[in-house]
Amino acid sequence: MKHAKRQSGFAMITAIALMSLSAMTLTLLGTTIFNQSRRTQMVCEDAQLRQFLIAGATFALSHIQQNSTGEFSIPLPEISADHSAQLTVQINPISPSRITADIEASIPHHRLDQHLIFTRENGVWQISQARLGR
Amino acid sequence: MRAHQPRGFTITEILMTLSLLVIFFAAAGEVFRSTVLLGKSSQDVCDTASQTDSAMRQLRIDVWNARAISVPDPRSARISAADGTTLLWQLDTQNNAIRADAAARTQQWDHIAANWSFTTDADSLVVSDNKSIPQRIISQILLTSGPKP
Repeated sequence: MKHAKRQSGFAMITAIALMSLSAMTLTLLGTTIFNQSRRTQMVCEDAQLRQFLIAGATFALSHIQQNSTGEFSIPLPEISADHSAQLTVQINPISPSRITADIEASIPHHRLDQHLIFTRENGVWQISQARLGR
Repeated sequence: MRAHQPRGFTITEILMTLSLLVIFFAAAGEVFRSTVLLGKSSQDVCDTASQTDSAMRQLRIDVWNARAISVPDPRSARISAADGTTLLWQLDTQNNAIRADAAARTQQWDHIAANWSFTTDADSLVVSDNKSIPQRIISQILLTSGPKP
């Protein structure tokens, strides 16, 4: 008489369950690490862009002191230019004692801008408002 | 005639199987517990990071346009904006960061400011949390206006 071989499949089901749990853990871990590294990169890029904006403000102030207006593209250090970074300044006179400057810094997939208002006090131009945008 | 086949298991086989099952279920339970804990802590980290980034972004915008920054105590900062209004940032005892503007409108970021403290120097507000590198938040106006008399 031939006996049918009984296989419950218990070992396979539990192995699959364990592997699924491990896969879930690894996926969660991977997602968390990816998100954190992306956030760190964004923070670094943001800091770099703010440095560009500060440089742009200094550039705008020196040009305004010399009564120079218009749109300028500021040459950046080679290491930044190699990464396609750009810094542009648009200076617009509003009145004899008021000038605005829009400064935009960008790198691929990330940009930051600021709007500055310059006013003239005692013959000297100064930043009277600085609105940081995005 | 066929030899008699004993049905069932010996006590040794049963004990071995039970031991293996106990070990297996202990390991499976631990993996399951780790998965649940990791999921929860991952979500917490994500939420806190998002809240912190949002608060820091707003603080940066406020300080960027500051004409004066003062720190009456390490858990509060007073920012005089260029338009003449005053903004007050406070860190309360529940570690919430609260921003109040001149019209007394408030914004709150919950439970992000554990061990945070404020200090200030000539042109910036410094936020420290005793763990990471202090964040120096610059005022564009104060930075460009040069050294103070």
